[in-house]
Amino acid sequence: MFLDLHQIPAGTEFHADLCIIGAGAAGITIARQFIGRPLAVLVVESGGLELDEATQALYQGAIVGRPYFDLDVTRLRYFGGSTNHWGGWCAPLHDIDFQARDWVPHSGWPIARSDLESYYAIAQLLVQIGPPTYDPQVWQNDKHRFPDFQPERMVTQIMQVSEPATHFGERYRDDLAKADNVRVLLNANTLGIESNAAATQATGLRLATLNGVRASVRAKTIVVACGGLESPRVLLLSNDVMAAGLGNQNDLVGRFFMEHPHILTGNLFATDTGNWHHGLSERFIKNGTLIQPVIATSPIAQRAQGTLGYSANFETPVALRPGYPAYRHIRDSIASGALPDHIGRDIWDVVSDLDDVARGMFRATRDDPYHPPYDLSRPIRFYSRLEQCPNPDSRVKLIGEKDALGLNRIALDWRLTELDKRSLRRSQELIGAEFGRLGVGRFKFDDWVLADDTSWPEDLLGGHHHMGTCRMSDDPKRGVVDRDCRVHGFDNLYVAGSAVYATTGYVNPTLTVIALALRLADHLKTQFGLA
Amino acid sequence: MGLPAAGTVSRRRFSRDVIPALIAGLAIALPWLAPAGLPANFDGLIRHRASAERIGRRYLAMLPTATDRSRLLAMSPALGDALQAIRHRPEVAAGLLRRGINDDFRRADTVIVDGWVLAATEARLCAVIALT
Repeated sequence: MFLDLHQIPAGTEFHADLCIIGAGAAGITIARQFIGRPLAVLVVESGGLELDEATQALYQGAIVGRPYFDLDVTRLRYFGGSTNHWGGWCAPLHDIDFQARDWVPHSGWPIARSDLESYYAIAQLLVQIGPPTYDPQVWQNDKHRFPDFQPERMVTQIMQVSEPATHFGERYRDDLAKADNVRVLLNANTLGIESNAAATQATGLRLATLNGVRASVRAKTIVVACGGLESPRVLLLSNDVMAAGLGNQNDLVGRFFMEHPHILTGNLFATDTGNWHHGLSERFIKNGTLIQPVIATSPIAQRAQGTLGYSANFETPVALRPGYPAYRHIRDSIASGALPDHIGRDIWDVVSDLDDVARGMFRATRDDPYHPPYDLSRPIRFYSRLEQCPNPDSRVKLIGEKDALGLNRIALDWRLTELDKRSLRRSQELIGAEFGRLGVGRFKFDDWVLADDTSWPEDLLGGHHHMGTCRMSDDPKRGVVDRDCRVHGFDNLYVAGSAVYATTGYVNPTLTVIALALRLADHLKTQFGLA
Repeated sequence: MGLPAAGTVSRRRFSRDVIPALIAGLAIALPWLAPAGLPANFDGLIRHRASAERIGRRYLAMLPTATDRSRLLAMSPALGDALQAIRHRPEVAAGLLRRGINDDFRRADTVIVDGWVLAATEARLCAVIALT
């Protein structure tokens, strides 16, 4: 059921067996796992069911390192969390992403990919994509063939796209509304987590609405599921017993912030202007699943070259044609009961470019999205998406500025390392060699990539992927949470979501966030004797 | 056609001129390299040559020591073999060169010259052009 803290008498104390802070992908996934179980679950969500400006403003913060998105733009603070603006790209992490790599400082998870295998399969269903196979041979079709890369260098990485992206708030709202044992408390901002004097047991939460209603929670177990920027903030703000914040006895909470740097890095000049690139140039649908292929360096290459993960997608130039877009404009306008604004020009475009109209209509009959013809007389741009090296100096920290609730805001100090740059350069050199071997063209670096070991352009951004700030390790001196996502030193305090990533690989994080949440839910079931 | 105004070979020019000359048109391009046998259509190829020379000079500048033509040929046997064959059997020379370049790419024996990822043999071919 859904409750609104605005409608609850001030001073109410809620009781729960399991309290989850945050109703995003991780929080909703965990809560759903307990529907119908003999357990009182309380999901505490800062926002309501829709975006609210004042609540969203609680996410404002400072950027003190590399340029980054505004902190109240890069995430969403209402029911469904950041899935409300999710792009839908999905792929599981690879074996190598979990392993300790001697060339990557601070690498290595205490769990393996195999520990998540069964959860990935369920996560695929939750985000409404295809079967859990990512073998490019399975997904290619007659039109979209993938280059025959040498596996010691490169692979075609399949991304399955949740399209339209599953917004967890919309998709799973009814499940939680109908559940007798699950309460979702909206407009309830967590002011802090309370613990016993020894800081070994979390005991509850202090809550408040923006208009001053106060409440509290007593819970046997608490899960912080607020994302990679807010989860460390919640722990750091919970400083009644531990001045440095809960779980921060080793000054690790908020450190190791990682993103997937996104940036244009070079060009492939095709000497073979045939159809070899179609598989990498466009999204396509196979067996009802939308596929976005990208290229990536293989795990073998990463080991041999001492590099981080690297991926890129082709931005293949197109020859813009007026015909089919004009036809579509006329068709859609008429369907909506109006005449196009410039009907004369649209008709002329259709009449003068019947080839394109015919091509578009033919593709439409085959459930094949329209795409203008490619123009390989111009270079194919590489839009790279990189794994970032874990770096303790890349961090989220509290600052003196306060939000509307009187809580310290955060500053993000995002930093990259020499290994990040070297990995990009070496990966692209390998890719250049591979496209040369395939006889399809020559690769040219963008100048800045070769300039030196540390500089990055101002327009380098991330993918809105906030990871690593409560990292997982069995060693309390190296991580905030253990392999079960339990905060070191605590019996009953957990972190869910991308904050626990030890390293990030190069694939998008949401599928793994959900797999980790499912695994945590299983662990909690065992703790509650429900397994 | 003159050299690029800036200190680099433009991407467009490299794409349009050098790659077709080196890869697709090796059999045509290679006669440049025969000191005593410039083709009749040399003027038509000179634009390729200018770009190749630019790459070649850049490559030579990257080498730790001054390098002459014979040393370049020794570094890339395929290039040496191709130049041996060029006068009498240009189609064989083109094939040898193409194979040498492919082998380089397969072994990742590549160099980055002016931002381009080139087979070592390819870069040395440009260097020989620059020295000829």
